[in-house]
Amino acid sequence: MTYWTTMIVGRLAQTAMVAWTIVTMCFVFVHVLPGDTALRIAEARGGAEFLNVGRAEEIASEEGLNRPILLQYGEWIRRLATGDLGVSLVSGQSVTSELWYRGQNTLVLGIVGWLASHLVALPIGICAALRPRGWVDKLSSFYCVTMASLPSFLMGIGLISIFALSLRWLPPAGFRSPEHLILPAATLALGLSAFSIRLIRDTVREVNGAFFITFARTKGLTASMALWQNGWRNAAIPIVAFAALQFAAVVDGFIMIETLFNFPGLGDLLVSSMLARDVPMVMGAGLVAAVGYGLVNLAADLTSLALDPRISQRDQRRATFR
Amino acid sequence: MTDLSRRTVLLGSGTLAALLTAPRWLEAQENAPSSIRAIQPWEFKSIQPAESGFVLNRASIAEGLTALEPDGRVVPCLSQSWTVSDDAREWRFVLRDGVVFHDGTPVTAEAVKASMDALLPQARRLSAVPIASIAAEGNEVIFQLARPFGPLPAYLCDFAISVYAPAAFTADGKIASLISTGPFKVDSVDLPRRLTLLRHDAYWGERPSVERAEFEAVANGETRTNMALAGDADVIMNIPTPSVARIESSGMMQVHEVINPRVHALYPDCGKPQFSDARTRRALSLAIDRTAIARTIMRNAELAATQLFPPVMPDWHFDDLPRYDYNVAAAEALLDKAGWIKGADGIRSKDGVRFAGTIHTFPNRPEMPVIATALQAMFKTVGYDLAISVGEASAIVEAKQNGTLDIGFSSRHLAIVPDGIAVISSEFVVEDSRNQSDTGAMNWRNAEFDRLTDAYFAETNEEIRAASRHRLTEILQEDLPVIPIVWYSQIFAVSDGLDGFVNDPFEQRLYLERLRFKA
Repeated sequence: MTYWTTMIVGRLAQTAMVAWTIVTMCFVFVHVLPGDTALRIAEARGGAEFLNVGRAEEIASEEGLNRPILLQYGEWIRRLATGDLGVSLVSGQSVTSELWYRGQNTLVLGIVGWLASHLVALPIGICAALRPRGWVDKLSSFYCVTMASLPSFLMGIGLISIFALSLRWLPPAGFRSPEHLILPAATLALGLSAFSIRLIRDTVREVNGAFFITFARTKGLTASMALWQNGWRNAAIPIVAFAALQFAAVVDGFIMIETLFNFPGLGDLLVSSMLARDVPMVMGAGLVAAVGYGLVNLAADLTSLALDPRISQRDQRRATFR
Repeated sequence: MTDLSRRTVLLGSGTLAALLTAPRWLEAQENAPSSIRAIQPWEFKSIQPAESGFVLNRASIAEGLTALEPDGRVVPCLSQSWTVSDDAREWRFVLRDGVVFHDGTPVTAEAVKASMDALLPQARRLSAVPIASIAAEGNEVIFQLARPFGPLPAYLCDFAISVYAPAAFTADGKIASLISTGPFKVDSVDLPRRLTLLRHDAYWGERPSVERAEFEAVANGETRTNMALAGDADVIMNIPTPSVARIESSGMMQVHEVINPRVHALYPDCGKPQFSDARTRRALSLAIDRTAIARTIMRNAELAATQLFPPVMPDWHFDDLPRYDYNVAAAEALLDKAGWIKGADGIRSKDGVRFAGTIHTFPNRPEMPVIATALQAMFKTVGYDLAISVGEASAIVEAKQNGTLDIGFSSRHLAIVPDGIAVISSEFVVEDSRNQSDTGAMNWRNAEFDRLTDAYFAETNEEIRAASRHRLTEILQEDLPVIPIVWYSQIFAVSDGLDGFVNDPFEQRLYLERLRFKA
């Protein structure tokens, strides 16, 4: 097997282990929460107004909630092995189709927010690095501290107040058209860019002071030419690794942003399913989040390898010496 | 792999992923001027009628044999009339001519019977009706009852028993697609947030003037307020009271308010020593300043409850009933007489039992924990030590089941079946076979109340029925198995560009078919 194949297989196995752990934890947490699961599901199905112990007992019997916990867990794992995530205990809809619908929304929001954050962070971070302590550096530093310390729900409320309620340029909530994506994506992007700008600035500055850049300058290249031709690939490696790490933060952010903007995504689904004790849906959402996180990190590793083949050579040398 | 191909692969993968994952709603949408967007706070959890609440009727999709008018009258809907036998055991509903389902098939007596047969097992409130059989005969649907049951037409307004086409059902009697008879038919369903509707051109009644409608669930009250301030919808339900002034001053939408048949009430466990004596329940009622709660928390002094049923249910609301007074001195005197003596800490006790307990409530209606806090302070003045527990609504039922509930604080819609007898029988006649509620009065029995309730179902003489209603509400007022605090109002924001809005206090319908855009 080549180094790449070994690495991909290893990471996929690791992702599978992480996913299994997360799903098992979801199952355990839902069952150790205080309160009767069948009653919660009855409440989620029909609302508090129509809550009824008789109905809860019917649900427990229909859905097999009275069976031993380990049997329920084993049944879910067995179904998962055949690719079947089951049906929601609340809506009766297929978990897979619900996750697909919600996952699409979250993925689009995440991609647009992440791209927008890097559209902001890359030029500002590079400019700040090229002129340390210049006005761009100072302003960007102020921007980063402000944005990083501002909770995303406050940022979202601020954007809604300005662009939806005062200027009336954009809708404040919902999911009917591409315009409905702008404010939630901007909320996500502003938060993410605060961290990316500083990382890009520090990385580019470090690369800019490296020996190979000085050497390129002595050959007669301008500072920007030297950076463009010799520096970007070196600078990109930590930035890519950090972007993958940001994915975890994005999952947290989605929960708040999707609630604030009434956006039907995975974060919103996870919270409502947890409250309703919708076990198959919670486990399905946990599975998707864990696999997504694993795949994003795998993509980051592959990108780093593509950018810097020395990583594979170094790893192979280490393996040989061991 | 060359540098160029790596970049191409990276960029290409990203673009492909974005294209593959673009959700349907991101495709450019035509904003037709003849489309109405309505917002409600409740998510659509299921398309099964028994679990979908009023939403399918509110969205003008589903209809039943009977319907409730905004003035509280039960009127024929898919039936054009009904007759009842002298012994009130045979009811004949004559169907309207020319009514078709959304799929174009005719509404026949056989189709109605099949729909009823499939939906009745899930329609819990209908289990109170002693239905022996349902038959289809010509264009009539016939209900044979095991015993007389006067309020049948009111029970048939229940959303769980609306009529669906044969093609709507799966083999096991579940709804697979929403094919009914209402003025709008379903174009798409995005559970739990959105229903997209198209005009039902072959509707039997007034044809809607708009071609399309969208029904969206927005659970967060502040988000609904923002949508009203931005004018981002045409009709928005359940505007939070503190937002009303802001919306009115923004000039984007008009605000409509009406008192609902809903009450926020205390459900004390009458089996516990603290509440087994009606004098203690009356004393706590006297300690509640309902007007202050209504004015400061609900922002509408008219919502202070004077009895269980609000004026919007005129058959069950009686102006001559004694009102709930706020009188701390009288409350203290009653408690003294009942033997509850104040201790050094200001809390009363009797025979070693402290006059104390926990109130369980839930935050789905944000004002409820706030009201609980106000009650805590008010009860302390008369020597009752109240702790507060805020959790899920199901926690109240659970505590009631395991005997740990002292006082439940719940919100109750009193007209899901638009005849107060449904609430009376299910909430107060504790061991009645009709009782389908686990959230009603606790450990309270009154033989006269039970007898009157039983007799009411069989009675067809309206004079006797009216007298029974009066006496039933009088008993509740005297004995206080439930202590009403405030009624509730439904607040709508409606676009200035719309005509024909109907504010239905029963929350059952939005009458989308009557809405039209101003020229």
